[in-house]
Amino acid sequence: MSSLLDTINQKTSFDKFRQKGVEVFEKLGFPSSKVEEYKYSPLNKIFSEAELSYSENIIEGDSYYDKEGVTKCSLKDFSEKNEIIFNKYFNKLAEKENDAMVGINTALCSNGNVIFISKGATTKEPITIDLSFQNNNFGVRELIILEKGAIAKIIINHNQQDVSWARVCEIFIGEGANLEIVETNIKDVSSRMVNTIIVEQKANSFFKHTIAVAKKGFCRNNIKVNLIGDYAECILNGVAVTCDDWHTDNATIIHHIAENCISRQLYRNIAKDESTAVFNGNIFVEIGAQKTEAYQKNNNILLSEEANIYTKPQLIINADDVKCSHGATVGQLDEEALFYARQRGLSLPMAQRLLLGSFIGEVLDVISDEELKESIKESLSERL
Amino acid sequence: MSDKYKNMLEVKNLHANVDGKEILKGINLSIKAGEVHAIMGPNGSGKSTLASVLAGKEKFIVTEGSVTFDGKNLLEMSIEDRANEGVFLGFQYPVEIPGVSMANFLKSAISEQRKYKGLPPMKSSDFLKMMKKEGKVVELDRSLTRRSVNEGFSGGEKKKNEIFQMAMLKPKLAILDETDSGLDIDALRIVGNGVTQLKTPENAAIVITHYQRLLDYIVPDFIHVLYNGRIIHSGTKELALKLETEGYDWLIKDFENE
Ligand SMILES: Nc1ncnc2c1ncn2[C@@H]1O[C@H](COP(=O)(O)OP(=O)(O)OP(=O)(O)O)[C@@H](O)[C@H]1O
Ligand SMILES: [Mg+2]
Repeated sequence: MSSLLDTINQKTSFDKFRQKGVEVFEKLGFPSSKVEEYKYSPLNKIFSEAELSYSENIIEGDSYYDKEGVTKCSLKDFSEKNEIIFNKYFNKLAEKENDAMVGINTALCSNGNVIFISKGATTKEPITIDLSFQNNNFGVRELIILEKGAIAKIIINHNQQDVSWARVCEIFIGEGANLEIVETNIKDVSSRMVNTIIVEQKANSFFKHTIAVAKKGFCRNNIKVNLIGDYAECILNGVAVTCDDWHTDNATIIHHIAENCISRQLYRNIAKDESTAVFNGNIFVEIGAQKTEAYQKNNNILLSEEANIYTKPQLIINADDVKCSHGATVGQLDEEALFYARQRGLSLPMAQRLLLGSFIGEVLDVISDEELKESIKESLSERL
Repeated sequence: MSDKYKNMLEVKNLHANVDGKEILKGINLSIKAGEVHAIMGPNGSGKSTLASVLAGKEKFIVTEGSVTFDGKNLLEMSIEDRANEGVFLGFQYPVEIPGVSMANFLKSAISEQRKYKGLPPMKSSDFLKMMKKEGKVVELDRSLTRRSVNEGFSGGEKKKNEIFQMAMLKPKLAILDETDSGLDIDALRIVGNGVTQLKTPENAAIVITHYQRLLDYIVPDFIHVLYNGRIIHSGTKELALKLETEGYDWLIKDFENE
């Protein structure tokens, strides 16, 4: 570990955080199945310390600064050119996480994208980030900041071939700001990855995150949202299609800290062949988070006897005036609906594909960009 | 011999089980092209089961008897082959399919049917024209075809939508399972007239209902009373009036005294 640190360019603004990251990682190590949150996705079976590495050259695409209030650039550039804002936000969420992968990522923090939308500004077009690289990298670090009243749409496309990697993306959503992120991981590539997003929402802000995964290898998405301002709302949707021996795990942790906040989660998985799909959903309603509304739903379809579905919804409520619900289902396709479609003349495989499309479609329907929604639906259908 | 005198549907001594329980206990029914048959009978007598068995629903097991449709053994065919041969079932409880538009659903259905018959795919413009035309038959609000299949449709809209699909698919044999229940007077008139407009000398219909009032619009050639898995009485359209006023008790008593 420390020898690896020696090789890092120790002249960046990230350096002062590294040691703490090392400590967290060395204390926890890659979590095994004994760690509750990683019970069904033990990382010690996926990664080894030997492959820990980092790379600074992961940024592609254009950068711009304060284009009508919108900045998109690399983390390194941002830390130099916007030092005050960088210092105000960077690592403020990550440092509170007692998570091995956040630790290692902080230790090896190398580079990544920054999107900064200043007070009241709006992205005209959705900003697209293509995260595409060919080297192992456990230090991919990103930062998304929306100041008060800002509005943004961001599309993140994963396309990492044959690598092991970890990403941490810190997201700050200011008062009354509105952020939609669509994250796709549907390219025909193989990787082993842990993707962590940590979000903080201030009062009256809105956050919508939709993630679609259909990829070879191993994928764990940690989605953590902290609702710290009153009347903040988040919608978190996700869909995973797994085939062959693929393993996908969506894990959410929603912290209701302020009053009158709403969180809605809908995660659906379709598991084929010998694949594994996991959902870990946690809602914590803290003392004082009165009038919380927290909803969580997880539906799964098993398409083969050898496929595995694990679902672990958890709700911990420490306030008394709240509306919460959670539910998980595992099943096959609805017999009556199959009968209905076949009665109209559709063959069995066609009827199955139609219903699977409908199952997925409901999750993706929250995506505001029609074209993007259709293209994701299409890519996923091809896997079915 | 011309087709006119042959039976389109010939059900002989049909027995069917579900979960080991016998529901149909020897049904006999013959239907010729051009005819409308009404099936009435108390709740739980097996009307929907008969409709489902004819359509091929897999949870029902046929244990005895035969069903011939246009000279072919219907019981050997898959659900979709029966549909594409021209058997249409209007569901008592139409199923919602979120995220699939009615228009796309029907487009797939029609293209499967044409493939089955060896016909080339239908042109998009023809499809749209047909949707417009047939939508008018049941006064279906055009926005419904853009919505997901049956999702959020009112009870009446679902039933109208079944008739609309029937109009699009032009089956030889339409089996309508309580298409009149849950309809208000206007919707009943629309559905009834719709079915009548779609009637030709070449097709036939089985209309399952509890009420005489639908039969004011769709005049049946025969009425059968199903009770406890058997047809215990058949008659002409006047029978419906008698059943409406006197109920089924007199028939059931007769039947059980035999
Ligand atoms: N899966 C099942 N297991 C056991 N019995 C069943 C099953 N499905 C249906 N039945 C029974 O079969 C009988 C016939 O039901 P069916 O739905 O055909 O009646 P119906 O004549 O259509 O009644 P209604 O007028 O109420 O629509 C009923 O007694 C019903 O409870
Ligand atoms: Mg019934």
